[in-house]
Amino acid sequence: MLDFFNSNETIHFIITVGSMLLFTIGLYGIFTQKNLVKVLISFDIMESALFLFFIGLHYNFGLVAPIVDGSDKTFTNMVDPVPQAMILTTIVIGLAVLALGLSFGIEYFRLTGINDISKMNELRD
Amino acid sequence: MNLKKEFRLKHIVLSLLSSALMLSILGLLSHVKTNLHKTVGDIVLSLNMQTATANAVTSVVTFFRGIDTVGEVTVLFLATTGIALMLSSTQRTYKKVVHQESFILDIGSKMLLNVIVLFGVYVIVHGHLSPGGGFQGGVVIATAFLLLFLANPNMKLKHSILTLGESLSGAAYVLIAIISLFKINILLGNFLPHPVSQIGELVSGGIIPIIYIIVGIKVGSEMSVIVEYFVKEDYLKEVPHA
Amino acid sequence: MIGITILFTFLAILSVAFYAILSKDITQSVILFMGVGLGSVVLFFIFQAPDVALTEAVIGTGLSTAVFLLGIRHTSIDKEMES
Repeated sequence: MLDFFNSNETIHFIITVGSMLLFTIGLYGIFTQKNLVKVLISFDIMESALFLFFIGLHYNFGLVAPIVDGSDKTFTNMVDPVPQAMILTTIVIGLAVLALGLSFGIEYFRLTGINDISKMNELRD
Repeated sequence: MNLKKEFRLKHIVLSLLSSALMLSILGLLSHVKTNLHKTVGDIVLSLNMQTATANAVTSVVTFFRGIDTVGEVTVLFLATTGIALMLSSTQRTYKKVVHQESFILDIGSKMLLNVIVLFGVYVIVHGHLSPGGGFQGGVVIATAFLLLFLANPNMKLKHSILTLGESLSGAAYVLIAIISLFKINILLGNFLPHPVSQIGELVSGGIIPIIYIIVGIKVGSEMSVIVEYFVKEDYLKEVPHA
Repeated sequence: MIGITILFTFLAILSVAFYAILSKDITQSVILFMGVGLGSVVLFFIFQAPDVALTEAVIGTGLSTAVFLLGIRHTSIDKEMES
């Protein structure tokens, strides 16, 4: 039983199905929710799902983090550092883009008093 | 009621279809992964000994993919500019908040500010030895300023110092790239001496810690400005008509 | 053991995200969204990515929640009416 849970295939299956379900929850929130802040939260949940997918798929059982200490100075038997570096910068940029979207929402609410996205119909025919 | 139920069903079916699409993409990815013997991560890890950096993620961010980091810092700058444009476009006056001078809150927040900023500087400077670096340390420094704003709403940041730090660090990044181009004919190459025997020490790795300190100053000043705009929004005079 | 830990952490993240979407109160929804970030920190640490775990701990649970909480005070109607 424990060997089944410690194999690479099982871990990758759990990561894939879990992050896809998280992505689907975020997508459902975007389709059904009306509040502006709720839609932004749904976007962030989808983003978290993609981060987990990227990092988790490059983890194999028995590998260690790509940092050496003083004793053994070889870079072997380590996880892939390239997706970690990409996700590292993406998280920081995600916060800045989230703040930009929220500032658009604040300005729109100040001008019109509407925070329901189904009532934003100024550009409709 | 029936119409509403139908719409709900449509949403669920749409979500399930898109997730099935992503699952099929995963099937393709796993197929590629089993047939590939050498990924780019293995090449990076085998080359990483020459950079004399103990943390492989730091060397990927600042050395192997240094040009990408320039672009990402530019995206951060553009997002901050957009926030400043949005939240300060119309003519508004800040309401002076009646602030009860609480002794413990005042002294306590200022004492905690020093400790948090010190931790942020530690995370930035030790970015090539341990987990951490410029991006994380800059955001830690921004949370220190968030604490200060929440404790004292009438505080104002000195924008001249922030502007100076932000623009000088941006210029220094480009300057380092051009100097290395003229010196060793590689854009963002490691032109300072970086002997491999010094790996694990504080002064090691050539230009890699210097670039991460520059990134830390830039990220810290930009995140502080974002936090300041969002906190100052709460103390506006005019109330939106509902 | 690692596989079971990953499974239960994913279950916790999924339930927290589901309640964050379905909750009627926006403040509660933001606080529940912080739980998604907190579970992600545990998973990143298990996946041997301490750099990403540190970033997510600072941003996903700290500054992102603060930006949301400061932002919803100016995008909600009933809060402004009573002040």
